[in-house]
Amino acid sequence: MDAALKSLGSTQPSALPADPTSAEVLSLVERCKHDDQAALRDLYGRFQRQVAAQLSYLVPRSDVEDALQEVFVEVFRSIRRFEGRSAFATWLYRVAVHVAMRHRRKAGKARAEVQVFDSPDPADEAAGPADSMLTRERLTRAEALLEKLAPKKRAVLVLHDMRGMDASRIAEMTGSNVLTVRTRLFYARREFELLAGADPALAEYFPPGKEARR
Amino acid sequence: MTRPVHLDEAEIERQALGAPAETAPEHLAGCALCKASVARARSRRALLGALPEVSLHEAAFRRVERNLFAPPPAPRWRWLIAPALGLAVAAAALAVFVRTPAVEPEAAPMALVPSVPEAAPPQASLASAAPQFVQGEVELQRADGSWGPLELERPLSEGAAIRTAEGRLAVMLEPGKGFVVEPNSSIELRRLRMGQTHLRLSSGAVYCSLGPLRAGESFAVEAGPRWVRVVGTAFAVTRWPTRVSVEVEHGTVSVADDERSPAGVLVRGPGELEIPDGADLGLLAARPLGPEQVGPLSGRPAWKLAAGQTPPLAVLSVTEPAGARVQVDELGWGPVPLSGKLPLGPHRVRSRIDGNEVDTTVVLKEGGGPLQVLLPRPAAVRRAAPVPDGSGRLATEITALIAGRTRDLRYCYEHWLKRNPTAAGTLEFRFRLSDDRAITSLDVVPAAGAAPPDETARRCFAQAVEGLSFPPGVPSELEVPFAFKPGQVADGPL
Repeated sequence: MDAALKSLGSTQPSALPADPTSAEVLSLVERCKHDDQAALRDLYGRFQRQVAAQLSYLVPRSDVEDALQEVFVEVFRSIRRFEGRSAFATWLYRVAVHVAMRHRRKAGKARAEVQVFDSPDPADEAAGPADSMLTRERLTRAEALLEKLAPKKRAVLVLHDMRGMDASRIAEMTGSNVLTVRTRLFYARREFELLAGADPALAEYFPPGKEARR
Repeated sequence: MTRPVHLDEAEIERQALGAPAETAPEHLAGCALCKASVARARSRRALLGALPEVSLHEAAFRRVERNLFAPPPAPRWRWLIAPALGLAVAAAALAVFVRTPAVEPEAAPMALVPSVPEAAPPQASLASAAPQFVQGEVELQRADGSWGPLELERPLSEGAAIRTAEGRLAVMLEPGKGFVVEPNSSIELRRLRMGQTHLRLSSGAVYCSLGPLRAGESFAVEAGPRWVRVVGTAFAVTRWPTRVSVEVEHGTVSVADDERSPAGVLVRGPGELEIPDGADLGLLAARPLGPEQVGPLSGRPAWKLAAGQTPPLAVLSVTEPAGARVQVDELGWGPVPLSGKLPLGPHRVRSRIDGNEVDTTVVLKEGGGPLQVLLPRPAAVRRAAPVPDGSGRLATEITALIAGRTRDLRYCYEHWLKRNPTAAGTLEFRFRLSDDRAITSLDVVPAAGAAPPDETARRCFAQAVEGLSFPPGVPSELEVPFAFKPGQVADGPL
C-alpha cells in the first residue's frame, strides 16, 4: 500500500532526507554538545527549512513558525542524548513529530487563506474527471479540516497518508506501538471523511454511508 | 440469511489507490456501502496528496533565529565621555568622567564633539524625495493652495506641504535615508537639496531614519520653537590588553571585524559594549540592521523605508473594503486605501474587518502594471439578540463561546449563499444540551421572513458548532439567534 501511495506522486516532502549523516554533520553535532554557539547557529541554518517542511500539516499553518522554534529549543536542550545510533536527520524528525503532537494551538490565531491573485487554478491544469475536485478552495478546506483533528490523529494521518510512512516507522517516530498507530489512523481517516462530508465545498466527493458491518 | 462481508480497511485503501479492476472483489460491484467507502477514501487520498508544500517566509526563519540566539541586552549602567576625542578615533585609556543616568549632567564647558556645519553652500542642487508607501488619507497641497490626494508615483520636491489624516506616508530621500509622516500630521519640506534636508513639522509626528551622514550633510526637523538636528555620532573606543570596549554617547556605531564588513554589532547611544578578543561577533549581533530596516521608535510600528531597493519595483494598491485595516508584509497596520512600491514577488496582505481577519498572498509580476487588490468583504454573521437566559454573566460567556465559531458559521453561510443568493435573515439555533452542557442536538429554525437553510447548510452549521460545551448554569434548551446578511464580495484583481 505504501509503495502504491508513493506512486501517486505525492507533492509532500519526503519523509526523511536522503542524505545520511555526514561526518561534517556529526562533527557539528559534537560541537553543539559542548554548547558551541556558532555550531548551534550553524545547525539551525542547515536544518531550518527541512524541519519547517516536516512540520507543515503536522501543525496548523499559522503555528509552524512557533513550532519550528520549539523544535530547535528541544534539539538544543537534548542534543547530548543523540548517540548516533540513527541518522541525525531521523532523530531531528522524531523531535519535530513529538513537538507537533504536543503542540497546542495559540488562542487568537485566525487564519483564512484567500488567494486573490490570478494564477491558474490547479483544477484547470489537471487532467481527468477526479481532478476537478482539486480546486484551490477545496484544498484550502482540506487543510482546514486537517487542523480540526486532534494532534496525534493528525500526525498519524499526515505521516501515513501524505508522507508514505508505514505504521511501524510511525510507531517508532511517535514512541507508540503499531496497534495504536493503526487505530489512530483508522479514526483519523473516518473523522476526516466525516468532516469533509459535512463541508459544503467537499460534500459531493464524500458520499455519506454507515460504517459497514463486518 | 448470512450478512454480506464488506470490504475491510486494507482492501478499501487498496481500491482507493487504484488497484486493477480485475482484482476488485466481486462484492464491490454490488455493494453501495463499500463503493461509497472506496469513493471517500479515494477523495481523501487525492485531497491530501494534492496539498502543496507549506513554506515559511524568510522573515519567519530570521525571527526564529533571533529568538533562539538573542544575546542578553548590553548593560546601560553608565557612559563615558572622552573629551579629547573627535569622531572615529581609537585611543588608549583616557581621562574620563563617569556619571550615572540618575544624575543630571553638568553643563559641558565646551562642545565635546565638533558640530556639523549648519548649511551646505547655497548652490547645493535641488533634490527630490520619493514616496514609497501611502496608507489611508494623505494629501499634498497643490500650487493653487488646494489639497488633493498624494500620488505615489510623483516625487516630492522642495516646498511640498503634506498632511495626513488617519494615514501615513513613508518617503525615501536616498538609499539609507528617509522619514515617515505619522497620522494626523502636517509637514513641509522646507529645504530639500543634495545633502540638506529641513522639514518643518507644524503638527503631529515624523519618524526619521538616517544612515551615516556625510561631511557637510545636514538633516533637521523644525518643530515649533525647537530644532532637532542630526549632529553625527560621538563615541569612544578603548583598546584594553584583551578586549575592546566601545562607548557611545549618542547616535549609533557599528562594530565589525574589518573595515568593509557589512555585518556587525550595532551599539546605540548612550551605551557601551565590551568585546573580548577572539569572541565571535556573530554571537553578539542580534541582527545587523541594514539601511533598509528601521527600528521602532517609542513603540510605534516599524515601517521599512525602501532604501536600497533596486528595480524592478511594482505598485500594490489595496482599495477595498472601506473600513478595513490592512497590513502588508511586516509593515504596520493602517487603514485602506493603501498603496506602496514593493519588489516583485509574493507579499502577504492581511486585513481585518468586522472582526474577521483574512490572509491574502498577492504576487507582483514584472510588466503587470499596478496591482489593485480588492479584498473580499466577508458576509456578516452576528448574534441577533441577547441570549435569553436571565443572567448577564452567562450571556457574556455564551456570546464569547459562540463568537469563536463565527468564522465557521460564516463559511457555511457563504456557501449557502452561492447555492441560494437570497439566503438572508435571522436563524435561531436551538440547542439541546446534556447534563454536562455538551450539545446533544441542534435545530436551525428560520425566523419570520428568513430563508430556510438547505440540508447542506444545516449539516455545515451543525459541524460549525460541534464540540461546543456550554458553561454550567446554561439551561438544557437554549436558543441563540443569528443574523445572516450577504457581504460585498470582490471579483478579484483588476
